[in-house]
Amino acid sequence: MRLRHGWLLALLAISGIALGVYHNHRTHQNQPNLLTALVRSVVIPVENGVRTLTDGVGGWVSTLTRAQQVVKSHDELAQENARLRLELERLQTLQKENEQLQQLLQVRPALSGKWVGARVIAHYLQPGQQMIRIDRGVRDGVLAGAPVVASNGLVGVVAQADSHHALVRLLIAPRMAVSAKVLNAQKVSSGICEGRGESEILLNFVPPEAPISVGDKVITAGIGSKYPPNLPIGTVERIWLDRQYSVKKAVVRPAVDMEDLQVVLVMRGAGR
Amino acid sequence: MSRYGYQAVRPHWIARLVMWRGWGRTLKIGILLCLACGVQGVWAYRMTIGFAQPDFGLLMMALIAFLSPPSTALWVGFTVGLIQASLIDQTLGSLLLSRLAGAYAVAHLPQFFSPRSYGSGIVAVAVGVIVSQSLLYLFAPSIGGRAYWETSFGILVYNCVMALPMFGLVRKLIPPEQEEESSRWNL
Repeated sequence: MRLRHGWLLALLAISGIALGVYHNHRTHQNQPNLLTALVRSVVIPVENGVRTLTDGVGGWVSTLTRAQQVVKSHDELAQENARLRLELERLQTLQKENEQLQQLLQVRPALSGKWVGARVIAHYLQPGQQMIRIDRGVRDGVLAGAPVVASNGLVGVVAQADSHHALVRLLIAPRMAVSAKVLNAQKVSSGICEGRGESEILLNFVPPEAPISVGDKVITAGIGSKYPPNLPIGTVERIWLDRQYSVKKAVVRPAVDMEDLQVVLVMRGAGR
Repeated sequence: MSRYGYQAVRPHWIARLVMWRGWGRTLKIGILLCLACGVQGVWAYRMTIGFAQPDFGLLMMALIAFLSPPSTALWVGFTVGLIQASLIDQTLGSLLLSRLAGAYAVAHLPQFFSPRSYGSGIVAVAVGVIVSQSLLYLFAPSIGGRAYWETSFGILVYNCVMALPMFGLVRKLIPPEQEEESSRWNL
């Protein structure tokens, strides 16, 4: 019996390693992993169903709670109040989404190229992951490598695109790097913004003599044309001199609140 | 024992697979795992308290592995790793191996803690989270830093709190199972 478990453990462990190697190989070749795509095609409908159900049940429970309060109080005014409150909540939710959409519309003319609006359907914000899933995919012209922006600034880049969905790697994720400019009153300096897998970004490779100070705005430099220029990245929070490499480094607070993202803009047809 | 040894006849593996009585349980486990991983992307960030957030995939993996024999637990760990890695499309091998080891460790806990006790569900979840997250830290090159350990500790606390009600629910759906006796097939 013990031996049989040992064989199964070894078999599954070897399969895991082989699948990992296969996945890395496909990723480096910029090709989709068929197995993970298959699993996603099963789980993402479940995720969408949970989301729809959560929204529906949330509204239903909210209405039920209010109805019970109305029955208890037998007060018509309370009933009217509850109805208005429900309406207000709905309007507040709509207003929040509307504000984000309006802000995106204001940003839109400043962006060159074709962009498409997308709704965020899932957040994966654990350290080392830092991804979001959006409801646009290859069929909408969204390809891997396309930049993603919100009304406040740069969000990240499409890491992987299915036909109807895409996975966006956030700016704060490990291995993310964006060429940046620091807007200081004295001089504009350049550097590289790197994700650290935490809630903040590291601004690296700034020349040691560059005048930067806390509160300076950091924007995209647009070098390499992967990301559009002049998009807000964040604000400098802490600065120090790395004497070993003779560069200035800084911690940057992202301009976009990644947990509050509801809608984003994605560049169409752009990618690797 | 007859002359032809009918008692020793072992059906072909395809026949054993078709006649296997565990399909209903497998389906239930599959649905629970898909649901847990689906819920993760939609609910987890809304339920965050400070640095603590739940990991429904790990929670469900630990509870099912605790109520199942090691062979089933291994498949459960493998499946959770595969689903979690597929959703984020990265660190596939690391997630597969860490979840596999986590589930295997939890599957051996019934030797020390009875599945009848509610408290043992918390132990199972704690062991599952600690083993899985520690091995993920070792295996995944992109993961590191203090934030990872803070979040892992948050997951540990959150999952342990949720283990109590969830253990009761999962135990209703999937009653504790012993390893199938190989003697049935005269192995």
